[in-house]
Amino acid sequence: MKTKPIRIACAVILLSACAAAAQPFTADQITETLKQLRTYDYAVAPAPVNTIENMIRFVLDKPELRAVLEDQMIALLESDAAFRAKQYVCHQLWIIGTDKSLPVLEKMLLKKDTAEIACFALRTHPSEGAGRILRAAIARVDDETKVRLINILGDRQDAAAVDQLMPLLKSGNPAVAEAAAISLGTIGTDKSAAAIAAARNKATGPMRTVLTRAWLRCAEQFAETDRPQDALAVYKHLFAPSEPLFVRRSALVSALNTGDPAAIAFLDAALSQNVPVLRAAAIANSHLLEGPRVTRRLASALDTADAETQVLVIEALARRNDRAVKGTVTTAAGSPHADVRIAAYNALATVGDASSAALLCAALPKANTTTETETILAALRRMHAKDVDRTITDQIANTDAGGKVQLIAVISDRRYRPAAPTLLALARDENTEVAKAGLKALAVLATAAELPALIDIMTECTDDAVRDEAVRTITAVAQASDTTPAIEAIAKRLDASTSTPEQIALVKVLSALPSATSLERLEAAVNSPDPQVWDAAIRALAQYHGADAASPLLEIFKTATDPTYRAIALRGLIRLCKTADVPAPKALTFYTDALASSTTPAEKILILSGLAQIAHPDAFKLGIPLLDDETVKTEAALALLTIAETTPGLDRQTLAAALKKISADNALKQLAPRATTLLNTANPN
Amino acid sequence: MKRMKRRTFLKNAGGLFTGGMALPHIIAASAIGGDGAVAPSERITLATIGHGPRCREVTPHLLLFNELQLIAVCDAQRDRLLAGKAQVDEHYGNKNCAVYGDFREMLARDDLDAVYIATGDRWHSLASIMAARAGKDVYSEKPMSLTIEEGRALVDTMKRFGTVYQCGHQRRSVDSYRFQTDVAKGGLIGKVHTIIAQNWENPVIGPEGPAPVPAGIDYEMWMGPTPCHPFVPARFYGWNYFWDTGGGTIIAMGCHYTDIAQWGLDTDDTGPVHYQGTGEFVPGNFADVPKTAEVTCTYADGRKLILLSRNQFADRFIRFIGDEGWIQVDDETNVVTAQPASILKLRQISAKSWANPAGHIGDFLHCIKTRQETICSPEKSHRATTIGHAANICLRLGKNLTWDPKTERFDDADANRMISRAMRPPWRL
Repeated sequence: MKTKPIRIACAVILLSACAAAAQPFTADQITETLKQLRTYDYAVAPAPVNTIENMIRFVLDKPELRAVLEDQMIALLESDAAFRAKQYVCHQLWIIGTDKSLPVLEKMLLKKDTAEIACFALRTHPSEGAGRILRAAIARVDDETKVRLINILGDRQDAAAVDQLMPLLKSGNPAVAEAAAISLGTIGTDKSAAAIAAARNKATGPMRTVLTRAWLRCAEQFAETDRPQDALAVYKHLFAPSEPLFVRRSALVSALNTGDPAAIAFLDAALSQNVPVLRAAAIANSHLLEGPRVTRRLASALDTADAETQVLVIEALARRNDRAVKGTVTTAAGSPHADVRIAAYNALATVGDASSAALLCAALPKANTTTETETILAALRRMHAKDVDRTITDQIANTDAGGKVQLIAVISDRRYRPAAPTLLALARDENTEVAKAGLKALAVLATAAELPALIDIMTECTDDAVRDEAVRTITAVAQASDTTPAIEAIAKRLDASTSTPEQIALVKVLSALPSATSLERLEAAVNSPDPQVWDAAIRALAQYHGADAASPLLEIFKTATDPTYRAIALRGLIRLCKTADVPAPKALTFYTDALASSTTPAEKILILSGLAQIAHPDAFKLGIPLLDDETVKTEAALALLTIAETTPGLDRQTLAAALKKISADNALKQLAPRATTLLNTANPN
Repeated sequence: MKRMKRRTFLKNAGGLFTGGMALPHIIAASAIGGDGAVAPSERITLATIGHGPRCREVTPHLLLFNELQLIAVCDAQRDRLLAGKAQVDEHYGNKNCAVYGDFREMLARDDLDAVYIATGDRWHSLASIMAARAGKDVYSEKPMSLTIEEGRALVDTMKRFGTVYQCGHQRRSVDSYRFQTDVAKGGLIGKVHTIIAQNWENPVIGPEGPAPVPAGIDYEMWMGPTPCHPFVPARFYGWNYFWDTGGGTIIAMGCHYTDIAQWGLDTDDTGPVHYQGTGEFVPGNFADVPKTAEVTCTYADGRKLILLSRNQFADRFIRFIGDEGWIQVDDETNVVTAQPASILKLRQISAKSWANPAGHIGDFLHCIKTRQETICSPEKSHRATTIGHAANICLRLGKNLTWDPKTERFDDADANRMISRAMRPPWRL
């Protein structure tokens, strides 16, 4: 916002803001309102100008009323109405004026104090009559007004005015001569162009600059009317070394803008001359010219250009999307200048082929900077040419570990599924980073067909990090596949396994694939004689992705003696009750059992945290006795308050009793306000 | 529309999600001295035209670029002029910044390469055009024009003179909006069918009469090409709300959103074809523009851009709505929200909001050197601004309008007359 604070009108104005655009008006109302306008002078003599604008909206499609409105406006202009009123009316006639208003506007054109507002009304007046009165007035007004009229005639591109304007190029008043030159240029006929060219030959100083502008406009008109040779002839003059640099730049760009094949001469000249701004402008606008000649000319500029220019040329070549420049760009990719190499890598993404992909892969380990590396990788991701995917996949073997990781990610992003066998091999690489990268890619690209091989990798690997990655990959692949056969395959493998690490990994996978089979195997694993396996199985059950694991977890909690496993099971149970689809009554059953089996305050507190999430009257009842347990009464009170706040329909007496108990307990005084609020809500009287 | 996979989206989105926006490489190594400074002969010399509040906000960002030398300031208001000079001189630790009350004198300097224009809207297109005619490159604040014809003339002029022009639609250089348009173009919210852009409502202004021109203001220059009025404080300070000098929030702020909408819809070289709207023109309001407005702009393929002028300043936003979700940027806070919310995980958050134009300035300077097209080129900016102008014409006439983006004409004779208007001499396009 670039305004200072402005005065805001009083509420009276706001209250009157009910007038709609479609408000009906009669001819009498129009007449009366226009009368009120005659003395208009802002706040000194206010007038209902908004109403007049509403009238205009109303009458636009009502010829009779529109005529009444224009008649009243004409009458006002002919009267001795205030200047502001006349200015306001001219601004409206700009939109609705017809030939009827031309006579009064013609009179106004001849008066110095009203010519400006009359010009406003006439600027876009569609009638030929408007041009006629403007042309007629030129000879009858002073120079200041003449400039106004010349400007408007030029803006209207009034070709009939050319003969009148041409002599004015020689006016002794520079303002008149300049206005005539610009208008002649805007009108842009052959005659006006010739007059401008002739005048320009003799002109110096500012007038020459103005005539140059005008001549450029004429040339543009030639180009737009399918006369590019005439336009190029003008531009050739203006591109001469004797012209100011910005004029030469203008001629160059305008010539290229014609798109005419002959304009290549301008490109050629700009590339040949050692004028940086012209060279840069030529390169930047070279896309305006089509054809292999232009491409070749640009490419040839690379031979002699400095590094900075080479970058611009390579970018321009890439924009041409012409694969013929592949060789040139490939050579540039070997440049000693990093910026040139980077530009070439980017260009190869567009104009390169499979061999370019190989080149980029080979360049990866040699990259000197992060920018260079990122550019190569981005180019490899963007390439669309045939066999690029296969080439990149093949090149993985030829690079170092870091390069392998990067190219594997590229292949993954390119979604090249045929790379799966290569990636499976890489997943067994002795370099753990390569192996993990291979597995990550397989998480995206592999299907159920690769699951057996992935399980082999998982069970055979000796590195924990790789095995964990394999678990994630197998899980992702199985989840994305038809899970039943995948689960069956994993379960079968678990049944047959005698390897502890393999069994551990498999139960981890099964925890993410909820099914009867998965749950059955996990429960079986909990009873494994191998402590490492049952440890993994309990943890897997606690992380299981389905509500069915709640019962086994409760059972573990009830029967386990090790507090660690009791805690794992209880946390798993609470997680499932919170997040899985466990109905509230069922969850309450679990919590009732769990409470009965809890042996420590920590366990009770955990249960209370789950209980607080159940908006059910029985949850409230279940928590009440714990208010008497000094070791957990604070957590019990918190849970009860949360339940009370979220559960409608609690028994009032039960609720009131519990809340009073909380309020009365000095140890719970920080919770008393919440309890009191609830009490007041429960007993509004 | 083919829905783009998220990974493909990331791949195509370039650096935005992999490390923020990188400024273009600007200066050749040969131009950089041993201490990292840019050789004076290689610096781009720049001057400001209109050194008011917006310019004072942007100037510190301009001054951060070592390859740029701010050599002059220009304003028709003397206090602003002196404040601008002080701002520049303080940075350079000298008294070298030249001052001008008339930008024509400044443009005549041979040692000036480019200008930053932050005047009122009435000057944006004409000052840009005159700078281009003088061979200078241009960064101009928005909206680029007061009329559709001015915008087209600006496009033609920049093309004619090979001028590098950057429009101050700087949200294109801000990651929140880039992210929003990438999401829209990438199909992550399905097929986009509607965009809602909300600007704040225009004020209702009490009537006021002429007053003496305050000391230090060249009011004639301030009015420039707009119709002559005596100095009326409400018109002067509230210029944005009078048709002669502004177009209300639907164009002043709305052009930012129409620009983002055009970008997100891939319609940078065209625009909506149908306009339908209503405005609340308040009787007794000294201001011309409607207090509130709603205009539905419909593209040829049926997609809709709904421009709203309502509520408070801080309530502005732009939301792209697709058949599978939506994404919104709250302009005041730069907070991006989306449905599904998981889309937001793809965003690399930058601390920079629209208030930091450094990326936009960097793009401008890069293009001055390479002569390439800026991110907010004349044509793109003109198309975006045209939407606001067409919406205002629709509101002023109270008519549904059909617009032909090729011929840039309405189907309505009255509306076509409003595409252009007379300038007050000596000014002209």
